[in-house]
Amino acid sequence: MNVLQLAWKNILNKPLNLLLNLILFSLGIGLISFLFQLNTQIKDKFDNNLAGIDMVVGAKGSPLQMILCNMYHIDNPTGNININEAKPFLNPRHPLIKRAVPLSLGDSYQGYRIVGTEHSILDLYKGSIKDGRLFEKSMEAVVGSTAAKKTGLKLGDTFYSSHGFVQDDDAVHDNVSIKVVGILESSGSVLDQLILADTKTIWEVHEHSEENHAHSDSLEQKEFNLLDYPDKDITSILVQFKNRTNFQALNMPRNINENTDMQAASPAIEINRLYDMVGVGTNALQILAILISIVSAISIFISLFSSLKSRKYELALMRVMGAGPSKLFLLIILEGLILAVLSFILGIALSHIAMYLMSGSLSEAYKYDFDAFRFINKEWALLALALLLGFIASIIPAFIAYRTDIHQTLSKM
Amino acid sequence: MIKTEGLKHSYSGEHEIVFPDISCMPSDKLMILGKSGTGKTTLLHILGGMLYPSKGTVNIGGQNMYTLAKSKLDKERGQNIGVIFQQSHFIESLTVKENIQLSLKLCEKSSDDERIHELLNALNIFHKKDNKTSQLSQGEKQRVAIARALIKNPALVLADEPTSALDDSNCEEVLNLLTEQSKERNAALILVTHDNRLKDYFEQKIILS
Repeated sequence: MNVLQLAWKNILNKPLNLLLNLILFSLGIGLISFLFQLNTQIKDKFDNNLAGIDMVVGAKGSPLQMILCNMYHIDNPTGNININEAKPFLNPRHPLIKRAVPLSLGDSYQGYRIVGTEHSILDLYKGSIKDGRLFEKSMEAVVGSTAAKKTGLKLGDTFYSSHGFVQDDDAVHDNVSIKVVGILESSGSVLDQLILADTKTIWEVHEHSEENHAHSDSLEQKEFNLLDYPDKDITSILVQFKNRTNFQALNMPRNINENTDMQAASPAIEINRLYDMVGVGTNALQILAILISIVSAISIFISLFSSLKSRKYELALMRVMGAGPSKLFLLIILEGLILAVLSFILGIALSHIAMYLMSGSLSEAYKYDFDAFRFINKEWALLALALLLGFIASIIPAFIAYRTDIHQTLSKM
Repeated sequence: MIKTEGLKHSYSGEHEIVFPDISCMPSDKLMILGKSGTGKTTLLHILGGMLYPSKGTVNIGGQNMYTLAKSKLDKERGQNIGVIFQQSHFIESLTVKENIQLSLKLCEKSSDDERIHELLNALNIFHKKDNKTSQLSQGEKQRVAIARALIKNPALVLADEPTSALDDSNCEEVLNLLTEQSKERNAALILVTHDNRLKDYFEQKIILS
């Protein structure tokens, strides 16, 4: 029966106080930890998917929407751009551009977006084929790992795309089927959530449904090159510069915005703008969580403090039995710290359970898989915070216990 | 053995209480009688190393208690003095047995289950060893308090009105157990009381007035 065990038994002896303190404290800790998780994982997701992209060129509209749509696939396109106008940026001999990946959006399968693009998109996101091969001609598709898992698409399967982002039976292009020729390795990027095909596939799907086979022959060519179709549209171009600090490269977005019908935006700038906007909300939540933690520290203080009143004979008795004042001090501090550790464990468990329960709906909303069992270093900082609050809450009661006077206490019996 | 010389105490300048010198050998029994207000509890606390006297010395087993460093005094008190109070207080969150184990732990003596069980048996309280102390009757509580005071084999047992909350039959039983067990352990027993039932029990008596 040492002091730690005694502190533990003292805490268990007041189950209702214990419950109240645990609920309050773990709620605070859990909320902070949940926000840490959410922030870190969303930020990681945005950062992972920056993928070295320096500029996105698309139709005029909201630049943030254009970035969210074309890089993170969580918003609708701003519109389309004409290949003729986009030509200079698709030219492989452009002196400033290292890589330009065209995207054509607009269709999806079971909520997973079908992207008409080129093989170079895999270089951008460091994706690779796990099973099968890359798309070689139109109406062939390569499926991202999460999309494959969730839709159940396998090599050799065929499927019908549907218009827009949500599964809607009325919008299915049910006259042309797309064949799965490859499955991608999981890359942790947005590729996992996409179905990739060539640009022609997107055109064909739409032209088939709109004009009923009218143009199908014109697209059947051996070597497909976007630049051969100046009158057609794509949604956007993801651009990597050869040298992103080059003066001309830095000015390119402004030139595009001022001199063309297209708009260009820098992902890093737009994402920072998004952080700033959303940050206000998470800041408010963080303050709320910290307030809850402070209230819980006060609640621990009050329950320790009021327990001293009924325990003053116990404490004096411990002194009679040979305990020095510092032992009583330690006892009360330990009671505060045990509560803090229990709350920390419970709070972290709560936040990860919440993350687990919400990861389904979060991954739909953000097109990203959240990992409920990922532990981040900041959570250890929370342990330090919890211990600090426990210590602060117990230091005054501990000091009062330290000053217990045997004679004065016991002569009032 | 315990020996006091010239003990005086006054609370913040109020009138001074002068105590007679006390001397007890191992196994001695001494009763201190007195009406309330005569300083019985004050004397007991001074004897028990719980209250610094204004003047005088308390010598227990050759140690001059109040010249010791505070931490040493805490240790001496824990190891050599067992105290039984009028109203027994225990650590509420612990069982009977755990309370006794804690008293050994606090004075840094080793805990021995067999010895604890033996003593609880002798005090006829063994069957309650796993109960919380709040579930005990007054008589049982006093017997546990005796066990707690005696388990560490103290040189001196101090009892402050140990029987005043008990009925006649419990009073006699508790008193018998207290004297027997103290004697068995060669501990000097000093009992402070105003309980007239105990008047003829001890031969050595000091009356405070």
